[in-house]
Amino acid sequence: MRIFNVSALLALLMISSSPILAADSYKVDSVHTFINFKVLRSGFSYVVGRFNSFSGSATWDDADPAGRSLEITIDAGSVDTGNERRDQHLTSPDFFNAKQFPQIIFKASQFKETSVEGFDAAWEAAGELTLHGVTKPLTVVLKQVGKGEDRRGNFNIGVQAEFTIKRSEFGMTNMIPMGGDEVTCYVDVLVQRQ
Amino acid sequence: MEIELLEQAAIYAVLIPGIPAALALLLAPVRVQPFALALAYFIGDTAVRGWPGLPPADSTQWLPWIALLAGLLGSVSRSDRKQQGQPSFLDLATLSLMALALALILIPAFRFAWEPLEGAGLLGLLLLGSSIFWFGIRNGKLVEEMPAIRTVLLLTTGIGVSILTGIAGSVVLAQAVAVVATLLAADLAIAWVGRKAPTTNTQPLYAVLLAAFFAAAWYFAEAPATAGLILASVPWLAIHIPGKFGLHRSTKTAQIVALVIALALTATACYLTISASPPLDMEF
Repeated sequence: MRIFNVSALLALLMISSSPILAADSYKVDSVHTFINFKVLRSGFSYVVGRFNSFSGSATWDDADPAGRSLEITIDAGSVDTGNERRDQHLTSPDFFNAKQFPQIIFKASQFKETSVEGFDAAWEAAGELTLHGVTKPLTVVLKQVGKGEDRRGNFNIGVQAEFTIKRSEFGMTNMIPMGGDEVTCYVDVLVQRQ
Repeated sequence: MEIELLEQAAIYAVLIPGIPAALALLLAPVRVQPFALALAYFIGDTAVRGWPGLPPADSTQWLPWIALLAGLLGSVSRSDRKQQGQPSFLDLATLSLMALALALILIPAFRFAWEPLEGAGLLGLLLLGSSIFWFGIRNGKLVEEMPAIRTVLLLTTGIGVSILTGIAGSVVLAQAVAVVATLLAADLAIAWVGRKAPTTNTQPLYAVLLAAFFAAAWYFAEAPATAGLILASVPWLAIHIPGKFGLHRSTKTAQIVALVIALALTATACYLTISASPPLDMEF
């Protein structure tokens, strides 16, 4: 009776753990990942910037959409527009308020296959964006740029996305319209299998 | 477009709090005026930064709520007189409110940046600076002879903190401090027109807000700590230095010397902030 119970338990464990084993774990390669944005300034021109400090991870299962996730955490204080004074202003309470809300987090857990011309694969990644202490749903289209082993034998997946958010929806209401409300983000992410 | 924004800033930081402040000073009974001015501050802060919420998402937006407590304290305090060498109830209550305000606005520092011991030490130093500021406006022969000088020095400090915060990089916080300066200016203007002394027992409201705003400018907008220390010592130095040189014999001379000292120290604090900030070679 005891032998039967142990065998049944082992079988159950093997069955229930098989999808988890199939999903691979990935880490965001911060050297080859770029999180850029642009925002209209005074109606005349765009200010273009990037975040220099972030980290992230992903799980990916080719066969099972439920085994896919992506999480990127950005250090709000690492905003870089190429001008120290402007960056200080952007991290101040007028904009990102980086000491009050130090992290910008995007978590996606639902990936739906889609197609985009010019790309082998693409997914609608639905999740939540936390910015300035406010969390809102966000769906972005991730386009697969490349996938496979690099020269060192590491397995990589590279994706890119372009999306627009309204900063006012996240409580960043100061200096609109001098600094535009709509912020267009250009994200190139490389994840490496662990 | 920038001019429009400046006009909006002037409306939010000056007109919106200024009108209820003037009404409070003209119509409310003297005992109620500190709380009425705190309400005017609440209205002004809300116009500048939006409804604070309770608890606020942004820790610096505890200040409108703290202002109401400070106003209430001013309104219920029967007298600010105290025995020589002993802190009064008003002193202890105000210092407690300052400690509460500093602890609340610095919640993110404790959560994300400071170790507990480091945070306790820095909070202690901030409270020490705030105490110097508080006792500076409380004591002195010049204040006894000419109570209006206290409001003048608070106004100078308030304008200084506002400018310094703007230079350090936060226009929004600077506008919120400008709301405090507006209340002080309204207080002085109505006293001057009515040929009377400015309101009494409003010091807890002004002192708590100014001390907390400097701490906010230092931590959230990275204003230099030295500038804050200079501003915190403005009332004490401006009131006591004239006395040291025997200038208190003539109240008028002492007032002029006090004002010159206050302006010089405020200008020095602003200069230090400009020096510590990245070069102004752009506009947003």
